[in-house]
Amino acid sequence: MLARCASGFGAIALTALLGDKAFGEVVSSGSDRHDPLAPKAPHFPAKARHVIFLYMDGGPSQVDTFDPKPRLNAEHGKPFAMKKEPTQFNDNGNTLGCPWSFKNYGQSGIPVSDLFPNVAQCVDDLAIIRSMTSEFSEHTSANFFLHTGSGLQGRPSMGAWAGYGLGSENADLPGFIVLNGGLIPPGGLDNFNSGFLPASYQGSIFKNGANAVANVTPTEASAELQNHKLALMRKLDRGVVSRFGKLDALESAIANYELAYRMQSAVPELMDLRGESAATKEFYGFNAPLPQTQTFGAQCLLARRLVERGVRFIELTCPAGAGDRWDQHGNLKEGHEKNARFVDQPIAGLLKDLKSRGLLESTLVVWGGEFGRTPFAQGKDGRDHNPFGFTMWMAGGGVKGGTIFGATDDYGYKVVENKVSIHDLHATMLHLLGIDHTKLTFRFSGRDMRLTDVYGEVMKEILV
Amino acid sequence: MANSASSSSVAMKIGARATRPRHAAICVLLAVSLIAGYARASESADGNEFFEKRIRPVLSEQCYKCHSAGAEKLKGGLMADSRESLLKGGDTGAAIVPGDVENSLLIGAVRWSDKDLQMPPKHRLSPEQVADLESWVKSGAPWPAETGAKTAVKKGFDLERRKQEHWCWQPLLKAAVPEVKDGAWPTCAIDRFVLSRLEEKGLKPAGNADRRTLIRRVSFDLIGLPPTPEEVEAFVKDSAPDAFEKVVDRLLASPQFGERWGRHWLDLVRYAETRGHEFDADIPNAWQYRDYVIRALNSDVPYNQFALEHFAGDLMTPRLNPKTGADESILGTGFWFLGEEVHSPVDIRQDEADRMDNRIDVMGKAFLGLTVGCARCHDHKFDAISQRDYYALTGFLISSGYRQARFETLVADREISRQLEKVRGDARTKVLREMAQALRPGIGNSANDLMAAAASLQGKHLPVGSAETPVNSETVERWASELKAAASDPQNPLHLFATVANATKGGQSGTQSLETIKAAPSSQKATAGFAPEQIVVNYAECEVKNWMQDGFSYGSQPLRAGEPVFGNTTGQPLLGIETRGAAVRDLAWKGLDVRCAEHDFGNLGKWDRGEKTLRTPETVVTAGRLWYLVKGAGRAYAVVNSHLLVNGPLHGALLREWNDGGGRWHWVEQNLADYVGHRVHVEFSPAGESDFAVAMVVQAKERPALPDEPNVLVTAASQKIAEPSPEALAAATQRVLVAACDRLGADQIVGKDDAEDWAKLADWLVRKLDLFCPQDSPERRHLAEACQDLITHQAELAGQIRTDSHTAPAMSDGSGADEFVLVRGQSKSPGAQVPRRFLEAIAGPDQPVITSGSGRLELARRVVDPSNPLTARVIVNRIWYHLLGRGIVPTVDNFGVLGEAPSNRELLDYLTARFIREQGWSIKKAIREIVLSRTYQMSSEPSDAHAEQVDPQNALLHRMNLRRLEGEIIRDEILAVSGQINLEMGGPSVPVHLTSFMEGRGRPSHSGPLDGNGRRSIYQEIRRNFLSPMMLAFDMPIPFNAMGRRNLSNVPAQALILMNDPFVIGQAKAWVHRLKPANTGERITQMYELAFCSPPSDAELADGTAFVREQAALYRKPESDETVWADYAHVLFNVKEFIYLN
Repeated sequence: MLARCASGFGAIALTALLGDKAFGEVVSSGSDRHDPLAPKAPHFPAKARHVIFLYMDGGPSQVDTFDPKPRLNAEHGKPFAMKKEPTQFNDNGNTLGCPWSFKNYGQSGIPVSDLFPNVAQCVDDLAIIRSMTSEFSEHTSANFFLHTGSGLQGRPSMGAWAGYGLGSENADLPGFIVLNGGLIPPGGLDNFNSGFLPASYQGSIFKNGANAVANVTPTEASAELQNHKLALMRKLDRGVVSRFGKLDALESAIANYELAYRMQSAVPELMDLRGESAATKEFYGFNAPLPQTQTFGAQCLLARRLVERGVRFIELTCPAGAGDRWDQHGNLKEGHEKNARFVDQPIAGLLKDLKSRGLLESTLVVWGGEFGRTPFAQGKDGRDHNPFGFTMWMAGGGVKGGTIFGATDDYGYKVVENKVSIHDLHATMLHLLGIDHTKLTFRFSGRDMRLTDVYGEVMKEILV
Repeated sequence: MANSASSSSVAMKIGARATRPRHAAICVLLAVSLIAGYARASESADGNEFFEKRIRPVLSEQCYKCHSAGAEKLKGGLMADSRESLLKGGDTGAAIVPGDVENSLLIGAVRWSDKDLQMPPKHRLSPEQVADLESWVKSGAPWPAETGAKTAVKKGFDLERRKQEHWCWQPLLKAAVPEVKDGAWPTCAIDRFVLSRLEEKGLKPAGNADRRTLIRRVSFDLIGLPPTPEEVEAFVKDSAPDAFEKVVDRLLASPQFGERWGRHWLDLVRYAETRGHEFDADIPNAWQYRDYVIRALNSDVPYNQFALEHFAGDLMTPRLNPKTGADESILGTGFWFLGEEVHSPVDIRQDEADRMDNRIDVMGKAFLGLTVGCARCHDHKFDAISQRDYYALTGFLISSGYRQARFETLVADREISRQLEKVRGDARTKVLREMAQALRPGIGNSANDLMAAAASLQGKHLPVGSAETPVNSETVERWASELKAAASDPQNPLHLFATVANATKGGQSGTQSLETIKAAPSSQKATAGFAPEQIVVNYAECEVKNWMQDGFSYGSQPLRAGEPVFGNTTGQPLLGIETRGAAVRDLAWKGLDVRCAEHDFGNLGKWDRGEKTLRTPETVVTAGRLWYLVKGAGRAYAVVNSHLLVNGPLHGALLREWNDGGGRWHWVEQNLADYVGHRVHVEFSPAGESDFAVAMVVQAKERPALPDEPNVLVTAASQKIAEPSPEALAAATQRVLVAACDRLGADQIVGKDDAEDWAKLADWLVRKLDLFCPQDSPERRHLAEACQDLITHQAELAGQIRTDSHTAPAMSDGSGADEFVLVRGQSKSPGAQVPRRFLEAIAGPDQPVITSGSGRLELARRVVDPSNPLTARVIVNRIWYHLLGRGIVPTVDNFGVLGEAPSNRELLDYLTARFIREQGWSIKKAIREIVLSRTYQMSSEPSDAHAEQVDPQNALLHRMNLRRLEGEIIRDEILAVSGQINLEMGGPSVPVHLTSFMEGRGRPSHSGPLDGNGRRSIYQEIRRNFLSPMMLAFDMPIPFNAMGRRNLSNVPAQALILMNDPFVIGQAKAWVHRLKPANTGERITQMYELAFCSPPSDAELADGTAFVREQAALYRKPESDETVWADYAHVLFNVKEFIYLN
């Protein structure tokens, strides 16, 4: 492999070009190479080396999935007993019972609704956090908050922070990859951007299908034609270096072409699933009746392949086709059922596959949406947004399986125990990656910015 | 079921109770206090025991981690480790009120009843613990006296000390230009400042850049485009001493200068053309701001003027566009609105606080190089900026509003409005007199006419044509029809007569008629029923500062009762007499329309409001309902917390539309029940062609009574009649009408106590002109002649009104409102209000109080005052940064403590002083001086190893910096080299080219062209949620905050774009078509001169020749084939020299 970056040119000159002082210190202390994606040592030994974030866009209902509330069914159709906060649509009706039943699964006996029969089989690997809260009731602000720790647009995504803190273990692929199942969340691609962090850390969008990554396919008719062009370019670049001087920025730009060149073959190799066994594919839902299940199954399988290739942070977005995301303002039963069928088998397949390959213990899998849903009806048969108490779960990567953390009230409306903020979620994720969230900072706006702002506490109770 | 957490937390609590040691010392103290007979309720033995057993353990275990002297980090400013500190409380006030459970914040917090104040934050206390705390507070919160109670001293925020200790607050240094050893090197003062520093370190400056490098450098720096080969050759051959100066002056005069430097500025104002968030709604006409910036830079508007325009361009004497006469200044204020907007925020107040935060943050960095935004939640951690400073500035913004300003017509319309006013003022006396003249004969016969009409309605006919009573049948018909209408309309002055005449007809006696008359209610003023605090505005008695409108549709002031409403025909020179004080739409402006500009997203955008908007003062919603006393069809936009993206599902109530109420005054309700406690003002606009007027706005729970009742003057006159009969009543009515006509003719209604009553009669008379004075009568002809001049003048002026105009986002001024200090930045925790003022560290603690309007102009003057050490320094440093690649203060947006110190403060202050005093804040002059220095003209090659070691960041400028071109400039360069560039300036942006990777809500239905029509990058559309991947890869800042210095990252996407993107490939092909026919060597030379400003070296020529030969062979095509040359062109785009500036 060609040198990933020309070494021997100190980081100093580069950092002079980049942001404020603090950034230079992190880069130069992490590595003597100036490659911003060079692997860096964590603050303390990490439990997880990779994160797979299964992003359930729209906000799945906690009381219909992992947080059973019998009183909802007992009081179905009656006026809701608690004081109702304003909601996004403010069209709030009576108590709405859960249309599904719950069963206890596994050694832990944790209840899971019939929406997730497959994930339920893995429940002993899950730490179910029933006390998540958000600060926003609108999708976009809540999405930005979930992804970046701020409700406003333009901040770095958590995947970008992970890359900034730890670098990448794969020299041929980006450190933060978003496998786009079809739904880009409200707020758009800025949910995956690098904000004020350098562009090196921005999420790369991989689509399904042949052209997964923008501009990764050479346009030349043959490899020879491109190689010939690149050979001339290298030669001319050497001339530029000799005339301009051995300047760090120049050398980095030259080295950058080598990575781009390697990506041209690494991406097709990654996307080529022909080597995967029929059994594996079956496992992930490649033969499921719904095409969306097949799509999400392929993404989950790709996620495993990215983990195998050392990619740091992988986010999956949901397939389209269930009305509007997990956002069932009406017709809860049909919408949630479809959404669950798209993802249930693939997620279970991913968890089992990672486990059987010994990858789950070093991979943190996180499942959840930007908020939950109201226990009372919107209109006749929908649920509105509820940021006051909802469920996410984590698995693998140092998380204590078979755990329930936190609780909502008798209606699943608001948290009453072990309230967890999005900042706490981020703090815990970074902790599992070996990062002290208070020390991962980037100087911007005259402040040492953090993913967790000035908040965040690690959920120690769910750690192994 | 595993629930480890809850069981462990229970264990923790139990453990806490069991292990808490008792303090022996407390018992002693307790004994002492009892002996002394000093036994407050708070120190009773029982109370103390209860405290120690049930309260202290809970406080200690559950609260002290964050609320004690020992807390690692004190939260909310509250300490809970002594009774005194609980009484004193934290940021939100006292934590306990002894004896008052319900008003003790602590109790509310542990009950978790308020979702914004829940303690402990992660879990609820047990019901027993909450009950314990309640009874403790109820019993007076007893707390045993303790010696040596820990009271942490909060670290003070000392603004003055911080100001003294940091350089950026200090006035400009008056440093002499330094002496240097090598007197031959410097060509100007700048060089001496630079060289003197180098000499201190024993360093030498680098050699001069060669001419080709220099012209390429300065061309990109000044206009962002490569020089043409002809320009390069001319400069290389020009041996005149001012050869370079000529190049510089040509570039500074180039229209492309503004495009290059405009983009630098747009980085500071987070320029984008959509509002991001969920649906990425357009910011309509944002490009007008972009073009304004380009024009301002090209015409070298002094920077202090430019800055003033950004703050208060709508409030100052406008700078006019020399070509179009349009208002340029107002366009500057558009920058405030280039940020994000949220539709349907559930917490509308917090959303406003967040939007204002972004504006303050951007303003602070862009103009002052200060992170003012850091003082939102607390005093600045490092700089001399208090939290009060932050909210003092926010007040200016919440006192200002958003509009789409008709900047092209505003200035001309102001003049037209002034003249209209004058023409009417001059004609008023005459028109009123003539009007009365025309009415008088008809009124003089009205008693007869009434009787005749009444008789006619009863089937009787009075004798016609007698000498005293010249009644003809047409007249009778007109009066009969009027009388019929009056019978069912209590507001008609003839109503009483009609009623009595009807009654008489029905056989009632005269006594009964009298009863009817006496029972007639008398009118009352509309304001009578309202408490002063209910009245948001009453245009009958409106203070000048509360008279706010966009445009001139409502004249220069409200009309008072009794004032004429002018018409525009000689047949009807007056439309009526205003019956109450009101803002009345002037028909001269009815034709205004916006056809050529983009409209806002959402329901509000469907309303055309430009130069048609009347704005009320600001108030706070108390009753939950606003009521508008209006005439005509109209619209009201209740601006709650400046929310503007009104498009469901929430906040639809902010928009209210209503139909014409039959031309009468009527009350319109706007239900704002969801916004009680929120700030609001109302912006009215007429619907369509409606004759629209607003009299007053009140807050009330119930619909106010309709004020218009039977005319009190007619009633009073009638009630004086001794013997009631239709005849007597007709005579009385005539007397009143004659009196009204006289007052009208003498213009003696306005300003009197009974003006409204007379005005109603006069208005009726004027509107019934046809009744009293038929169209073809001599009086009517006389009236028409008398008003001819006025009507002609009015028509001339109205003809000058340009009905259509482009619009642009701009500020409007509102009534002044001061913001509250929001504790911890949370809108739910307002503290004290702070008066609007500029930063205390710059303008001092005693700034003049702002007495009317937002006060932005006053603020702007303080910002650009030469005594402010920051504004000029910051822009001068930015100019230096763009030209040299590194700011003298490298953190160009942050001159505060956390920014980097200036590498050469003497130089910065020297340049700044010159900028203010000698260059007149001219950006072009400042640029010129710098690029003509020898410092700028040094080579960038690192040839001195020692210097690289001593000055690795090149902070001292021992050589020029190597710089990578920005993404926009790389794209422009590709287009320039390929010959495809289209240098058309300004106008709406070219829609963004959408790739299949650019997905999400709000995606435009059509993609823009791949090559952006060859227009420069600054004219490519910037949609927040659909940013160009090429620009993103090359570090165009994500538009969310001021970004004076771009990141320079290295990502594979950059290489992949230049290697494989269809735009780049397409331009490589196009380039080939541009080349002149020539042999291989000549072609290569041509291409080098275009791309790199110099011919190829021998080696490069040889490499190129070999490539062409070999590639042709691979293709099995001749060497001249364009496919082969497109490949070669593509390689040249990818050579690093193409994207770097040496």
